[in-house]
Amino acid sequence: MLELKAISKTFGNRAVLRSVSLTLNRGQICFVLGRSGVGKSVLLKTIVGLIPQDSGEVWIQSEKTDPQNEEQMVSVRQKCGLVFQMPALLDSLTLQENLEFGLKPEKLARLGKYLDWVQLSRERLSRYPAEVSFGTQKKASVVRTLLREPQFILFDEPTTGLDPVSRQVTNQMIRNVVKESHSGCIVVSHDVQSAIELASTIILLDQGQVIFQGTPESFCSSEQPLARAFCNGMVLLDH
Amino acid sequence: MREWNQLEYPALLFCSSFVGFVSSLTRREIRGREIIKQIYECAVMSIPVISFSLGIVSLMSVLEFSWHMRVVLRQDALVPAFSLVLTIREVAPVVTAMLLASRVGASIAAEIGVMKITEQLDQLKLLAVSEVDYLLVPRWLGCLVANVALTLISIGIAGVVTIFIGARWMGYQPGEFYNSLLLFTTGYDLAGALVKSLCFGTLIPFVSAGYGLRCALGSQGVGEAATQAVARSSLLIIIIDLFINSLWWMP
Amino acid sequence: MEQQRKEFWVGTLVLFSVGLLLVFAWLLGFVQPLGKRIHLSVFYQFAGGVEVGAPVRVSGVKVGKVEKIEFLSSPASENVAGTSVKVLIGLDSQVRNLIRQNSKFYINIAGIIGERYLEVTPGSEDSPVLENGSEVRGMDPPRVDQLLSQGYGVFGRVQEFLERNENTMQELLTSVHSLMTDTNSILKKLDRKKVSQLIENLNTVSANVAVLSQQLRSPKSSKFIDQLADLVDRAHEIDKPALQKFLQEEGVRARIF
Repeated sequence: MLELKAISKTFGNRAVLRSVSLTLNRGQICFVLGRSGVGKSVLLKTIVGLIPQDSGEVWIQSEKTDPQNEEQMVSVRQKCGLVFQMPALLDSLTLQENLEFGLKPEKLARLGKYLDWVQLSRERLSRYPAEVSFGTQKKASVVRTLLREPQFILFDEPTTGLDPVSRQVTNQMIRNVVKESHSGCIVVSHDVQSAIELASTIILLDQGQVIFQGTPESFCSSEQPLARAFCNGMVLLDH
Repeated sequence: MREWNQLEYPALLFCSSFVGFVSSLTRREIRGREIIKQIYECAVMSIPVISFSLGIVSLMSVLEFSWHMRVVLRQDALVPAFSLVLTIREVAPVVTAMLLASRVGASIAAEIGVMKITEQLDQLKLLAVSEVDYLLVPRWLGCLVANVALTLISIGIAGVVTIFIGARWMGYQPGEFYNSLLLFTTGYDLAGALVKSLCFGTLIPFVSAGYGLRCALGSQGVGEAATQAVARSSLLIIIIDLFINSLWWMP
Repeated sequence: MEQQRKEFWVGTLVLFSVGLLLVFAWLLGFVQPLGKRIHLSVFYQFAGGVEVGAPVRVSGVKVGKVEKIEFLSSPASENVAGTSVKVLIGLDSQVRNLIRQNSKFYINIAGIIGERYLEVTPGSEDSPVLENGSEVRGMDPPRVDQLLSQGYGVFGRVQEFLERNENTMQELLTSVHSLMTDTNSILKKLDRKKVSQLIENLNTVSANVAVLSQQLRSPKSSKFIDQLADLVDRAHEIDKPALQKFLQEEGVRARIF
């Protein structure tokens, strides 16, 4: 179980996260929705300790994490994989080398399956990141995280910048992850459609606070103006 | 305070790299490929520009010395000896390091800066790969090998160029000039040149990587980091050169 | 493939640099990898400023260097008696047959900065070749310092002499000086015209005297002198005042004559 307890984070005098709490079990998919810049990405980075929170606690499998303790964070990051919004492949290595980078050789056995999930062909793997399209890079970065078989996978806008077909592929991949690996997923996204299709829980963030938390059905029937705006496929202008 | 931090941070990087390298030696986990790649990038790719520059510099220094000697002593038979001492003690290590700083320092700072702004550094953390092991140690060894090797090559080139000029323009037999060449040069000078090149080869990657790792977000930040890396490395090279000179050769 | 190419170049560079370092070390005389070398101990009383690392030349060609210089702790053996310094030299083995019993080992100075080196002359063919490790007596270089010190002795004595006779010397110098000054002032006072006139007059006088002396030498004159001598002889007996009076008269006459 992944648990966030009252996470707060302030950059300068701007409060990005204000007492955000969240619970996720393995096998569940939690979508975090919100307008750009409300701290969704920061939330994910806080979980894996890339950005230490100001206050609040992160519990992973009944273990409290400590962002200052690098050794502990190494094991946290093994349990909890983060797929960045940008592919963040090491551009001095080929895709294949990127996938193998820092990986135990026995874990490569399922490479074929994961490549199928994201529909990435093996021939592409000998290329360098700069030589392939953004979509391919993004797929490769997902496979890199999948290969590590984490118990929880945190996706940061996995479908942003992808064509509608790739979006379907990504959604199917997330389903597969949950079904086959029984992992828990947190997906940060703007994509309400995918959220309603996949999510077991939807969380809506605004100004660093959770303003809605519930099932996809309740999300669409919510009275929350922002939630309604999301459901209508448009984002409200500033209040 | 800010100035101090700019020196302190590279020093910190150096210490952790040293520890990282030693521990990777004991664990026998050497990133040979990365190291080879960095040596290739730093050293092999710099050979043409450094050979050319050093050839020209030693040519100029011989001609200049020759003019001085003719003015003062009415003869220039000892020019190669003076010129070679200057080359070994000063020109070869410093010019090589300066060129390497502008070539390699900028690229290290920019590369690491871009890795930072594209979240590759965060990704390294997620993959449980130490950035010290993956980024710093190979670049350090690369610069170290490059600087030492290129300094030696520079010295060789300076010697050959000196004899060539003597034979071509100053009317000496190559043998005559060669005899005079090693008159004042001692092994102590050569050792000093090696010490210098080791120091500079360590200084360049860590100062540059320091700027890269702390680069501000955005392409402007990367540009700033690269500029600062070159400027600061060059300045530190000159200062450290002064220190080594005063410790090594001054009475 | 790409990786292999890089490895090849990096390997080449590293090997090349190590090779270069060895070459430098060899040129500077730290490593002597090539060939066997022969070593000789050359004994000197005075080593004339030669230093470790100084070149050794045979017939003017550099073939080795001075490897060690040490003072003799025990008295030198018989054939090198009277020496106090042992200079160990290493030589290329190609000159082995040139260095014989009657080779000479000089310490010379070369170049405008006065670099010391050891010059070895090849021995004659009938002399036996020196074995590796032989002990030989070197030719002591000229003692410039000794020459100087002898020079100092001479100067010292001169100085002593001067000091002892200081007053006399001073007087001498003063009088010479005043003499010169006087002469100078006299010369200055003289009118040039007068001097030339004087010289002219002197010339005339001497010419006249020459004529006169020639006439004196003629038989007539000698006869007259004889008569005069006879006259003086005879006048010997005459008392002084009378004689005086007579001579005066004769002188007047003579002047008239």
